[in-house]
Amino acid sequence: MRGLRLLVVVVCALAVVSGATAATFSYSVTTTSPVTVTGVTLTGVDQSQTFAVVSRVAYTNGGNTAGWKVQASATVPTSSGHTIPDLDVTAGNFACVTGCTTNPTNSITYPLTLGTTAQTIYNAAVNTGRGTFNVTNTFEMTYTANAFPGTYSSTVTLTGSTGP
Amino acid sequence: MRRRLLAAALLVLALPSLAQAATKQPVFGLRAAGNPKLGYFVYSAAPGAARNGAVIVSNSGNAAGTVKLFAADATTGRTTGTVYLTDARPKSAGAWVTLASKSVSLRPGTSKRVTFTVRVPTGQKTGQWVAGIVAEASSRVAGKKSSQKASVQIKIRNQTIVGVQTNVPGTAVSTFEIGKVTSGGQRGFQQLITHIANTGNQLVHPTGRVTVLKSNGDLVQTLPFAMDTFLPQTAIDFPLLLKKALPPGDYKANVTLSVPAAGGAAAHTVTASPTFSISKQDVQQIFTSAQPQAPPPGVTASSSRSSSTTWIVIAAVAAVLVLAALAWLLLRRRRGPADERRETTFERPTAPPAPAAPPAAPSAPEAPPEATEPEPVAGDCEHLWEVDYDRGQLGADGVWRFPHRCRTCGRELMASDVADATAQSAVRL
Repeated sequence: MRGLRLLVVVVCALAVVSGATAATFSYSVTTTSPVTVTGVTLTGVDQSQTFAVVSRVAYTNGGNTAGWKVQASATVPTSSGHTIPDLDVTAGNFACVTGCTTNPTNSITYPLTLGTTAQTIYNAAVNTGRGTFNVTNTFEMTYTANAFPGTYSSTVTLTGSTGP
Repeated sequence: MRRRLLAAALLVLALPSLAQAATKQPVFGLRAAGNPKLGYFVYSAAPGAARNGAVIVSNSGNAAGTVKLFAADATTGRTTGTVYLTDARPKSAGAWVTLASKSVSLRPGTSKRVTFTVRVPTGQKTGQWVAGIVAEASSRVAGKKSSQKASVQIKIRNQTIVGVQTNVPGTAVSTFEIGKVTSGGQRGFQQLITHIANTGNQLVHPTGRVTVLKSNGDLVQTLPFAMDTFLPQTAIDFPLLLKKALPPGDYKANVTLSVPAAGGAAAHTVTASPTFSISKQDVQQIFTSAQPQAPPPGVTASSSRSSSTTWIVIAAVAAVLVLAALAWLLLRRRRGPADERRETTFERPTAPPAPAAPPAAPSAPEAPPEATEPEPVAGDCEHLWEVDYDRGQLGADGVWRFPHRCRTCGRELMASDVADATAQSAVRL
C-alpha cells in the first residue's frame, strides 16, 4: 500500500500542466491549486512527505540584465487548532521551455524552512535566466510522531519578481 | 482488493492527460513599460518629488481572469536577496507608490497599461529604497477533503512583482553590524546563524566567511558565503549550513564581511568574533527528529538542463513502481497470510528496509553509542529485527544508527540497518 501511495505522488507530479507566455517578465504557478499531499497513517513516529510545485518564469527581452527570483512564504499547516512543523523547501531545478539564451544561475542553499516572511527559494543571478523556464521546487512536510489526525491546511504564497 | 489496487494504478497513469485537458487558467505577466534594460524601475527623486511610470499587465494564458494590483514594501530575505512583504500594509517605499487601478480583468492574449506615481515623502532620508508593484492572480480553487488519517492541503497564491527602486540623493553611507552567532537547524541539518544588519543607506552585495574555532583556538571549519542584495536599514539572521556538525561545546566565530563600494561609499571590511555555545539539547533537537526521506540535495542548488530528460526519468520511475507493485502483489499471493503478518511488524535481514536517509553533510556530534548486548538465546538465530527509528543517533563516522532488537533471540544493538545488525550479531556470537 505504501508503494502504491508513492506511485500516486509520482504520477500526480506528471499531471502538472502549463500555459505559454511571452511577456518581458512573467511568472505563474502551473501546479494546480490546491495541492493535496498524500496522507499517511499515523504510526507514532515522524513521517515526511514531499511534493513538487512547478512554476513558469518568462524573462524574454534580450536586454534584460537584472535576473529574477522566486520567493515563497507559507503559513503553518493547521487542522482544528493543531499544527505540524513548517514546510521545508529541499530542492530547486530549472528546465528550459523555449528561447533560453542564458540558463539561470541559482545561488540558493537548501533546505530552507518556510515561514510567514518570504524568502528566496530560487533565483537567476544578474545576466542569467534569459528565456522561458519551468522552475520546480520540492517541498517537504513532516507529520510529527505526536501529530493529530486530520486534514491540515497551509497557504503557500509563491512570487516571481525582478528587481534590484 | 488486488483488482482494486491494479485499477487504481491504471487510473493514476491516466491522470496527466486528463489534467492537461482540463486545466485552463490565466497567466499574468508584468512588464516595466519604457524600461526594457533592467526590467524594473529605477528613479532618482528628491524628498517631496514625484515620478510617473506604467506597467503593462498581460494575460498569455488560455482563460480570462482578474488580477489584483497593489504596492508592497521590500526587505532583505533571510538568505539575502530582495523579498516583498505582500501580506502587510506598506509602510515605507511601498507606501510611496499609487496605482491608477487596483485590479484588471483580461481575456486571453490581451494586455492593459496601468500607470502609477511614486511620491517621495518630504523629509525622507537619503538612500536607495525599494518597493514592488504586485500582480496577484485572484483565482482560488476549492479542493476535496482527504479521507486519509492525516494529510495536508496546500493552497497556492501566485504573484508577479516588478521592483521600483527610488534613489533619494545625498551622501551614500555603507555600514554593517555583526551581532550574535547561534546554532540552529532541524531534521539533521545543523546551521550557524549570524545576525547581520545593514545600517547604511545603500543596496549592497557583501561577501564573507565565518571561521569556527574551538574554545582553545583550534580551527574547526571555515564557511565562505556570497550574499544577494542586502537592503539598507534591514537586518537578518543569516543561516549557513555547517559542513560538519558541531558537537556540544563552546566556540568562537570569526566573522568577516567584505562590503563592496556602493553609490560613492568606499569598500570596506567588517569583522567580529562572537562566542557561542552548543548544548546537548541543541544537538538532540537537530538530529533526533524526523530525518529527510532522501539524501539532502547538497550544499548548492541542483539544476536540470532538459525538461524532456526530467520527464523521461519520472516516467521511468513511475513504470518501475508499477512493476514493483505488481511484483509485490504476486509475492504476497505466493507467501500467504502468515508471512504477510510478520513483514508488517518486523524487518528481516534478507530484505533490508530503507530507513530515513541520514544527511550527507553533517557528521558526528557525538561518538556512536556503545551497543548493548543482552544474553543471546540461541547461537544460530534467524533474526527478526524491530527497529526504533525514532531514537537514531549520528555516529562519529557520519552514519545514523538506530536501536535494533531481535524478536527471536532478544539481542539489542545499535545498527545502521538490519543487514548491519545481522553482521554485528554474527561477529559477537
